[in-house]
Amino acid sequence: MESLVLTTGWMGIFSPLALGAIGSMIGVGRGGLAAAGAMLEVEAGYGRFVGVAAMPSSQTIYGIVVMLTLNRPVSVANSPGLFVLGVLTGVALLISALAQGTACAASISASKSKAEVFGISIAPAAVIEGFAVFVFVFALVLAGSIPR
Amino acid sequence: MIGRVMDAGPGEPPIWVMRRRATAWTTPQRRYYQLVAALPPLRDFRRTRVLPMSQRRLEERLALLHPEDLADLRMAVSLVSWRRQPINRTTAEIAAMYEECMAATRNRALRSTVEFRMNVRTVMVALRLKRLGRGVPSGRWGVGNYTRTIESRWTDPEFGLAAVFPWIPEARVFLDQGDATGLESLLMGLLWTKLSQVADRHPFGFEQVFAFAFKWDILHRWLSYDAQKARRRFDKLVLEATSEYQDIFA
Repeated sequence: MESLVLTTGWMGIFSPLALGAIGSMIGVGRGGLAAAGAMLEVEAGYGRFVGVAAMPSSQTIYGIVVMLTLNRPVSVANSPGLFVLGVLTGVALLISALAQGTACAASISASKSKAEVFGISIAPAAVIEGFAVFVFVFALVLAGSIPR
Repeated sequence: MIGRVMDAGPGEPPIWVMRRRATAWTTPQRRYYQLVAALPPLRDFRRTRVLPMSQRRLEERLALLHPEDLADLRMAVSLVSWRRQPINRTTAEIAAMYEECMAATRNRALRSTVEFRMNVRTVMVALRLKRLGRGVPSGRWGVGNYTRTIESRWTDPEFGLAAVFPWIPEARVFLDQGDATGLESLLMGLLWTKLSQVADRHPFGFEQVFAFAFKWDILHRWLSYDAQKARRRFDKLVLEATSEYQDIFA
């Protein structure tokens, strides 16, 4: 039973990075596919599409920082806290990366034929990034209250 | 005349409904980020003057679809297309195609779109038959869920379907006036609106792709009307010009 509890603690430590990276992979994949499609329709300005497509990468960086903050000797006392905080942070980062990937794809699709909307069309993706930052910041704050 | 081909038997749902129920939870929801981003925007067909994409380019893009989705789309296009249907195609054949399409198509929105288009065609058949002074049709004359309602409410100018199809009175006016272009514009507009709604609900889905393909078809058809008109005018101008030459050398 004790080993099972310790396992959940380790899961909590690595979840923000693992789930955040999975979300980034899928999110960047969505944006990248849209960028590749848009490149078939336009004659110039390919670089900005690639830049927008890479936006969901940040969730992996947040995941790395949260993982390093949660990293500590795992015990029966701190495993439940590590598990809940780590897994929920990871799930939030995963979903935000997926949503951001779709928003980036929509932005690329819209701006390929109407270049003047490029700036405003990435606003939804930036707002989604804001929610991911909330999760990231408050995960760091709460990590301090988990016993070492 | 097309009978009620969707009826499987007394008390039983149609065969295609039973098949749909079996596959409703197993049909994958594919996303086409690359394909959708590679399609140009389509503005309202009544305000567009140039086809934004050639048929060849469209075919190249549609080749990016999953084979199952592509097969479903091709089957649906044969029913929904605005291009002229083969003259030798009988009502029974169309009904059989419709039944096959509804049974085989995996995507619910695509089935709904085909059903919508065929319902519109069925109502238009009824309006035209009535305008010719025909009595209540029997046997195979249309497809869809409203053939019985139309038969039973034949004396009603809107067949009791005014709430379902609020465009019927307007279509009747165009029919009475003999305004074929106005009627075509109305019917195309109905499908265009329906397709826009479907595409907006499913971003980057197969729905957005088939909505584009059907809209492209509408646009292609609509612009061909203008081309025919332009050709007639061109012929008239050529005739006038050559007439003047004849006068000069007379």
